[in-house]
Amino acid sequence: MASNSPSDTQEIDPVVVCKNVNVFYGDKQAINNISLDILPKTITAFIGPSGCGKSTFLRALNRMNDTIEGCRMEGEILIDNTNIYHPDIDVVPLRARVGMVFQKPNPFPKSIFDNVAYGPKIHGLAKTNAELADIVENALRGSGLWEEVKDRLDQPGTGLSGGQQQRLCIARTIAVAPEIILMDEPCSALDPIATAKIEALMTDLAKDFTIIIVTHSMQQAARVSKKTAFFHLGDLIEYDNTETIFTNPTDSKTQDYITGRFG
Amino acid sequence: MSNDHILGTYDEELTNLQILITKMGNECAEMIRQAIDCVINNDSNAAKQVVSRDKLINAINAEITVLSQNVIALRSPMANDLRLILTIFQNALNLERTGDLAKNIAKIIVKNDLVIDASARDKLEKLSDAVLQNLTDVITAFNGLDEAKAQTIFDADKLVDDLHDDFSSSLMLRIKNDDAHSETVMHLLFISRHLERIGDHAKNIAEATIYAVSGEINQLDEFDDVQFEALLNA
Repeated sequence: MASNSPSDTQEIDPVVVCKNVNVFYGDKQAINNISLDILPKTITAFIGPSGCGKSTFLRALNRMNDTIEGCRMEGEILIDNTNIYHPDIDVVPLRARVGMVFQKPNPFPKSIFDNVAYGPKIHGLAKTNAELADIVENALRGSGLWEEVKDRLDQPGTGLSGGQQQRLCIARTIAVAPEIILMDEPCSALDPIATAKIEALMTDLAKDFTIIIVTHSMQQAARVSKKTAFFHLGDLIEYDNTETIFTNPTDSKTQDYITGRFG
Repeated sequence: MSNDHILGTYDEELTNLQILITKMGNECAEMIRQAIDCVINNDSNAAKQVVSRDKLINAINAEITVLSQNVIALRSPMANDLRLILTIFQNALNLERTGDLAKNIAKIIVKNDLVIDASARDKLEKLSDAVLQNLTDVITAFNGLDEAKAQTIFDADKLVDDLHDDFSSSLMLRIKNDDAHSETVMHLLFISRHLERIGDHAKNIAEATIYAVSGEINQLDEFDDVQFEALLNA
């Protein structure tokens, strides 16, 4: 079984602690007793072949699996020492605290401004319109989009390019001041230039946020993440510093996967 | 390889690189063997052929550089594949230097008439046999990614160093005693030194073999972190 925390960072308190997590879709078990710690303000990549459970595990971190009929979870996921699966936990503020960016950019059919303002409004983060405008500007600056859209904030978000739409979705996520950002293959629909911009943005965002990314691109995991977890058939096979995973992994399954010997 | 890549062409490229580095190693060993024969037989014509043989070594080195570059650029190798390519590239550089050293030995015979007595001949043959044994052993070890065999080269290189010390000490003594063939003695000193350096390159290839298999950088194990920092900052 893989170690659940990379050896050189044991002195840093994790922001997410997963204990013996099992996830089931009906009778089928998708995640097998995974324990894993996520370090704060670090980019952690989840890699593995299709069906390995990496996206399921990612979605377990903000209870997005709750919306899937027949999906059941066992074990504990603690964020800042609070079990997010405790019956008293309200998922709406949880999902503000643990934001998510999806594979395909999904801006609302609203203006650029309203896309970003939507979250702060429903979470009551701004008392005045001026405060709301500040939050929107800061979020757009944070996502590297402000200079490109500041003169057309009233234009539809859907009118932006794919890469800009994805950065708009990131702005929408960070506008509600999350602690953790989950990214499920955020660049798979983007060209290499837009991908490079998102990757550079992720590196900047990791100064303030904890980022967990699911990616099929091992080069992307190698480029952006500090920690990498390799999943296979619902098991966590190996979790270590990204450099170690891609140069000298411990487990032969990890080595076979990253060198293209099975997929 | 213990198992194949999904992309068969990737396996072919790695196999080609392994074939080339083995060929280069065998060519170098043969070139050294011929160079020493030229010294023992004082055969300048054969020595000229050894000198020209270095071009083949350089050509294989160039081919390995291009193929390694292409695999790195096009395949994004990881883990053991990455280490294998890095070490093939590194070993090619080491072998290219052994080719240069063999050429230097042959050049001495092209330009000079050496008079070698039985004692010098005996010491030279012992040294060159030990060096060639190490080189062929390490080529076999790398070809089979045989970490245990690579480990044996370190002790075997100590024997090479001892034989070199013994040979060069005897030559120095002859210089001290105003040997009538002091020019030959000087050239033999260089030849002994070249052979000892070839032994060091074989040791480098042994270290690379261990790294390719295990990811461990053997050479650095000789220092602790404090010593390493001190060396870097010296």
